[in-house]
Amino acid sequence: MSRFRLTNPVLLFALLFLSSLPVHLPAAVAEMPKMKTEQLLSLQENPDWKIVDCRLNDAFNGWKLDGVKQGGHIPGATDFSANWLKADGKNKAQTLQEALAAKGLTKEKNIILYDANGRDAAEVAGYLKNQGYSNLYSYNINLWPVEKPLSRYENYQLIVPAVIVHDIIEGKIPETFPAGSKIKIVEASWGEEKTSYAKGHIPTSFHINTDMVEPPTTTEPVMWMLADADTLAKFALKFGFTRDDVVIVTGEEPMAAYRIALVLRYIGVQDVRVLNGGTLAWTLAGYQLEKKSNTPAPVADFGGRIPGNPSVIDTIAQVKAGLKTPETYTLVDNRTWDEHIGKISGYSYHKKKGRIPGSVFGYAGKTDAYSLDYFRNPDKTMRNATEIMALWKEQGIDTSKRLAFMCGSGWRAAEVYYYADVYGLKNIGVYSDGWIGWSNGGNPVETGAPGK
Amino acid sequence: MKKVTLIAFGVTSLQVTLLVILVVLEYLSSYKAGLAQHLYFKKISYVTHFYQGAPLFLHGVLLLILTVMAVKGSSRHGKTIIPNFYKYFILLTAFVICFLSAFTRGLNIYAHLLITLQLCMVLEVAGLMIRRPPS
Repeated sequence: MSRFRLTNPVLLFALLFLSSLPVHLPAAVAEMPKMKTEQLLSLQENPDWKIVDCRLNDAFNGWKLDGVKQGGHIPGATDFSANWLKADGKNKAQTLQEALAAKGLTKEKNIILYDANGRDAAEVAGYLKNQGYSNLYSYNINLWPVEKPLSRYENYQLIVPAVIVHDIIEGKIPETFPAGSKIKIVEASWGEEKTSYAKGHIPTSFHINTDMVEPPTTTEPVMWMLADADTLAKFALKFGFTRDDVVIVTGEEPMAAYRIALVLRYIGVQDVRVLNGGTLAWTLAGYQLEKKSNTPAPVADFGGRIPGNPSVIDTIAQVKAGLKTPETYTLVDNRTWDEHIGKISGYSYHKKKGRIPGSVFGYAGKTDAYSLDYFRNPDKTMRNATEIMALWKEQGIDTSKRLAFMCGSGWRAAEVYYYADVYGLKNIGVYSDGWIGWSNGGNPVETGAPGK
Repeated sequence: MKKVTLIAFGVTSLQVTLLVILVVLEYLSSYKAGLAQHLYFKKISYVTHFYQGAPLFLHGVLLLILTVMAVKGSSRHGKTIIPNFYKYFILLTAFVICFLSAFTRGLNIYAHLLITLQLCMVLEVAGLMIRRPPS
């Protein structure tokens, strides 16, 4: 025992050495000059300066995370979340480079990186230093004056961060959720539980197979179209959904979650939200997935007519009428460029290629019919509105008109619809049948690059 | 190894390989949406075009011809046809069961299974015809 007395010179030296070590922070943060609020305010409009939010995208969107007094981001700021650096993905390095380019974050700019926890900005700074960026400054958003409002998306609450879902599972009622509400968490994916759900899901969630709401046709042409009202009513009762429910849809592939969320809204569930970034957001937040199978409790009455919110989905008749009045209506084609111009159909089970005459290219993925790169950050969360609006503006999409989003058969369009709703667009819908439904119906089609 | 045995072994190996591929495809299709959709699309397409109406009648005629050829081929190899005919008979029975069974109709590989079983029957008959009868 005497070997470990405090008077022991070896122990004293060790303690002295340990106390001299800096707090666990990357070296980049120690070198970054700290900005004061007045300095930052004076640089907000300066084109040589860029203000970058390094927190979770949900904080940027509007959620009050990490104990901040106000949700949202500094007006004019862009986002580059530290979470993006943690997410693995194909071509991650290239994706991050593309994100920097899209935000105009060049090496010549002076970049103010801000966070609320003292870690996120340092992690982004570390990455930028490695990329050769040197004019980096830090700011703590906790210093932001309360009287100055932050910018946040009008319906930011529609896409939920993992920490909020975690709070709900722990029995808390977080901001924006109605007091006393019973919140259901569901997992949406194609196939039986073994396909995705059994590998790990958000605790307490039960599985919904997307085929339940879009069963395949049993005769030619084969397609997966939204089920009729009777089938959807049976689905709602079987899975225990009622009109007054608050539902959070999760899933390994966010697109499936958005598809189910859209259908739930269409049938009339009042409050349907989606876990931003899917189960990846959950694991990146350090939470464990559950493997136990949970079963829903069926109900006898939905509490309203189905569909209770038909304006979510545009019928083919509405699309045809809308295309005749382009001054008030735009059919936004959220497929890849190659699908839009008719180079590929996008699906192995659908051979017809082309686009609906009058539809406008509205971006989707860069690779195939199952990707949505233009709308997502590297961690699968929603991309910021400024960049999406800029892309749409390039294509001549006027967001004051009714925008009906379409893709192959409604998956990509569902995710884009939700994002548009989060951004605050008022007059939106989804042409759920999409290209597959349209072209199988013998309607006119167009191919080749569209004329301006 | 005798040429006769080699042909029989080759035919059986090919038949087993084809059937194993189908089992693997069906298994994978329960995990991969793209594969499941593709197989389902093909199933509906093949059933519609090849296993209904007039084409189905043609299949019946083909099976009849194959069965007659199998009987003839088997009889070339001995006085009793059973030892050589039993494999063809198993394949034929499997085809009929698979065609009618609700379980196999629910499989994504349903149409591929029918096609493969028919191919196996053709291979079997071809084997019986090619192989030289014992002198």
